[in-house]
Amino acid sequence: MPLRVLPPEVARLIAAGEVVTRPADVVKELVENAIDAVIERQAHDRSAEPPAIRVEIRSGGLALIRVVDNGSGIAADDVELAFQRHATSKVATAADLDAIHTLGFRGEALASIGAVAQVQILTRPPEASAGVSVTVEQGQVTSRRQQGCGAGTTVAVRNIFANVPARRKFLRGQTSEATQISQLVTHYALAYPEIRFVLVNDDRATLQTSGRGDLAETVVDVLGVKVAEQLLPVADADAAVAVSGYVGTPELIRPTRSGLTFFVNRRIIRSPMLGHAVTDAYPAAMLAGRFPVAILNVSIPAELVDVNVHPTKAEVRFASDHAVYQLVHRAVRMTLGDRAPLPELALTPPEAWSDTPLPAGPDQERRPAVRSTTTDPGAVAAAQTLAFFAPSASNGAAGDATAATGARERQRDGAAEARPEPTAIRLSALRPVGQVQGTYVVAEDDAGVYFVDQHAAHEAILYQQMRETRQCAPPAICASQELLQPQAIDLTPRQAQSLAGQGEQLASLGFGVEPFGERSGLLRRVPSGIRHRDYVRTLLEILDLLAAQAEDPSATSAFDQASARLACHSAVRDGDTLSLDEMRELLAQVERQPNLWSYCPHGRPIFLRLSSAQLARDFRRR
Amino acid sequence: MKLTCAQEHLAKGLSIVGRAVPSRSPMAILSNILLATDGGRLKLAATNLDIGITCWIEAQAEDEGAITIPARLLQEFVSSLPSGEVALTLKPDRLTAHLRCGASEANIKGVDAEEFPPIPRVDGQVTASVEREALHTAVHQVALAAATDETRPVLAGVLFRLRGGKLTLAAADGFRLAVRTVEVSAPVDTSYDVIVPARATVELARIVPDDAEMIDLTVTPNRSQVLFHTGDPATGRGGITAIELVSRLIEGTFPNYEQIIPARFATRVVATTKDFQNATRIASFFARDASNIVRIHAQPGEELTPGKLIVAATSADVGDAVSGIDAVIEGNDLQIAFNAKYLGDVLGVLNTAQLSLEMNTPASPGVIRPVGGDGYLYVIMPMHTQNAGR
Ligand SMILES: Nc1ncnc2c1ncn2[C@@H]1O[C@H](COP(=O)(O)OP(=O)(O)OP(=O)(O)O)[C@@H](O)[C@H]1O
Ligand SMILES: [Mg+2]
Ligand SMILES: [Zn+2]
Repeated sequence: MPLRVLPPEVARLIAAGEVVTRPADVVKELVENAIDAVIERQAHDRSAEPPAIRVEIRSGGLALIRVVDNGSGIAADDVELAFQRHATSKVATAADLDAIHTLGFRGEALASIGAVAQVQILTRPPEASAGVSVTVEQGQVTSRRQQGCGAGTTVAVRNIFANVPARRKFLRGQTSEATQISQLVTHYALAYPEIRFVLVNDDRATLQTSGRGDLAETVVDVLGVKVAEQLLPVADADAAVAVSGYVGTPELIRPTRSGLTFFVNRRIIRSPMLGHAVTDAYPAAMLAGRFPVAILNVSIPAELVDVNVHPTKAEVRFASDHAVYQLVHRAVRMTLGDRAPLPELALTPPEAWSDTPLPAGPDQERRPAVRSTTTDPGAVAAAQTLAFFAPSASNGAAGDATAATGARERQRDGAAEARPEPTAIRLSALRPVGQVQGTYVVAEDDAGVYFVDQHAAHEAILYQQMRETRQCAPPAICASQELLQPQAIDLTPRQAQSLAGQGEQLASLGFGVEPFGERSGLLRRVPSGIRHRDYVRTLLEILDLLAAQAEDPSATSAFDQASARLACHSAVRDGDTLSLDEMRELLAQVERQPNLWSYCPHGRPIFLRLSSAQLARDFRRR
Repeated sequence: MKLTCAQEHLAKGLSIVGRAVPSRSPMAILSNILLATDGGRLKLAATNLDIGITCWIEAQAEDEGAITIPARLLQEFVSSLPSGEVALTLKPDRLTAHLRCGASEANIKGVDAEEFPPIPRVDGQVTASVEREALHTAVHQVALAAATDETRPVLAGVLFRLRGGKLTLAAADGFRLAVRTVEVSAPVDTSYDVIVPARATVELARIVPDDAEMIDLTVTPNRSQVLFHTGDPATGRGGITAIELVSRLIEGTFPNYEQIIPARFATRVVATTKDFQNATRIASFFARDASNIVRIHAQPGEELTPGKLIVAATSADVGDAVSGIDAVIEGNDLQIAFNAKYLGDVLGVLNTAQLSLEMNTPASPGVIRPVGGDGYLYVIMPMHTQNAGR
């Protein structure tokens, strides 16, 4: 074929192909425009009606996508211009591109959608007296008339990809498209709690948020109380960058990455780096190849992030990936270490449960910003930098265990203003008071009463020790103790096979066992820490784990899981009576483990706190 | 029921049977102590269904009768009384005990004695009489090696093996073994192996007063219960005329422990018990975080230098400690590691000034015996660690 410049209608289709490949892309562009518009209007007119966006779809968006906003609207004379490529009101100079504060900036979206569908736009700026309705089909304006309407913009998209049959063929079916769209709207609803979102799918309202600006409440609105109860608030900031939102407790684990949602300056993006920052903060054995849930926004000065690197704006480039990773990772770890979901009894886990040794004092700036409502100046500054996710989070979320309790509590007592900021606790300074139900160690200091799950705590210590000793060469996870008499044990063929192949792994776990006939083994030594002598059961479990790994090498580290099993079987149990000295020793050991999780390998919290203030409140002393 | 007895005797008797009162039990009656007149004496009894303890004290009984009274309240009340005569009568309802001593009197509500679970009777011939002192020591030295969990029930017991006029006690929890033989006076021509729950033996050692002379053992013909009896109604001292402890026996066969005891050694250490005990205690503080491993190095001496026993422990988190004690070391230089607890346990119950520790290789058992002592030995299995830390 001879070389030539493409005719405009073909060029349009190619360009459009980069922006919109499926109905959800259209929804994304329209919702982003709507968000820009309502925020723009609020910025000029604080007394404007509360911002709201309604998304309506039919047949997964293939029949109709309609997005209605009550934002700033488009001046009647500019409407046709909005459909031209590179026409935007959001960026004027090259310098503006270095500091983008709006979701849109390319002036591509409407042009692209107009190229592949019939788009009808009805709009009126608040100050104009009448609205205008313009229809565009395949890049051409086909109708225009004046029409009365409310302030704001309605964009209706029909016959999507009618002129691009190839594209239509590749769509995944209406339900799948609808799911995509619903997820997208959900995410934006979470990113903008101050905007009221409604999603109507085939005439059914499937999502609705209050728009009251309360993230905790929005989380409950869109994800339900069940999930919300398992979300822990995250908030942290360094000088330039802030992160906030929610991560799931280690119990809330998904088989895929679908629960990981990230925003940068409230723009939804994909980021494997952020995915790692979150996932790495959970103990690998707990995840075992699965993924946690996170909804996080990274707030970063516009000049430190380039949003103009991807055709659909789905990715961004940070000036320093490393800095952002560090911050997010730290924030998530701190949250996981800091609290557990514990609505009942208003018990809250200790605050200063940290991933670094606890020096007295300057732990302060690491305190999550949203909860520092009172004295901490660093955090207050950070909260201002954050000025984004949940405008009201800073006057109520202090100390909330989860999104759900956050919302609940806020309804109850408005502002938890006077809740004192706990200072770093020194576990070894706690006074053990005793043991309750043979299961929990109760300890106290002036700030409150602490409940420690003795099994979980001990198990977490042992597991952590094992993780560390694994770095040694050869890895000697556990010292081993010779048995008085070798013990013959029966094995399944599968266990026998893994015994034959995995002697070394077993040895580093502390087991001395050799094949003994075809279906049995001879146990000579066992991991020294194993209590309760159920070492045979432990060994069999571990053989099964190793067998599973041999069959599927891609499975998550069987060794790690084996260590976790061993830690479990070596730890004190529920029902074991502990002396005060043993309790003191347990607390001291917890403190000596600098990297300890406040969750045990089973994912249960190990530590809960009932603050003195809470007690006083509940006894109505205050 | 109407009787008087001495406050000291009653208090002592209550503290003895009180050992059998369970601290928590779904059966409320078990937290009571049975009081009954018995041939001019006062019988006190308590049980937790695993063991039952009965104790007779001197009393002047005017009227026969029986009642059960909450143990804790009765003990607290009686032990607070001044010494003197305690008068005990039942109220007409027969369910309230009236106690009077000096200026104090009390009515304590009880429960009908009929409801008290009967403590199993062990009839039959006494199978062995052992000196209290010897049995007491043997129990102390052996019971500590019994398992504290029930994974293998026989290991939670102490084997009592009566054979050829000797009684051998043995216990092993899978990692160590303790064996002690005691002489039986007036040996009866019978032999048996029975396994007594370790807890029962410990209680026995605790309740038998120092001034008791002999303890008689009786085993039921079906080998389900054992009775330990001390004292003699006629010659009772300290107001306690007799004490009995009845325990169920553990079913099963005790492992053949004799084959575990090494017949020879390559290294033999003779050291002062106290020195070794101190060195082990010091090491144990550092071993706590490190799988409880204590490392031992037996260095034979040269012609002019004495042998050395090095006892050390290292914790990655805490630090390390080393003690070197003088010892006579025959045979090879040897390094071995033991669990600090298992070592400390035996060192705490040896009653001779010196001990011997016999070993062969770092992977084979060590044997500890009192030097110049009696038929006691303790086999301890070694530990292994690839890296010195944990
Ligand atoms: N809902 C709306 N309310 C008000 N103005 C709108 C709305 N949608 C579009 N516009 C106007 O139309 C212009 C073009 O929109 P379009 O989405 O094509 O480009 P953009 O948002 O500027 O950039 P991008 O291509 O990155 O989305 C916008 O700059 C804005 O001025
Ligand atoms: Mg746009
Ligand atoms: Zn566990």
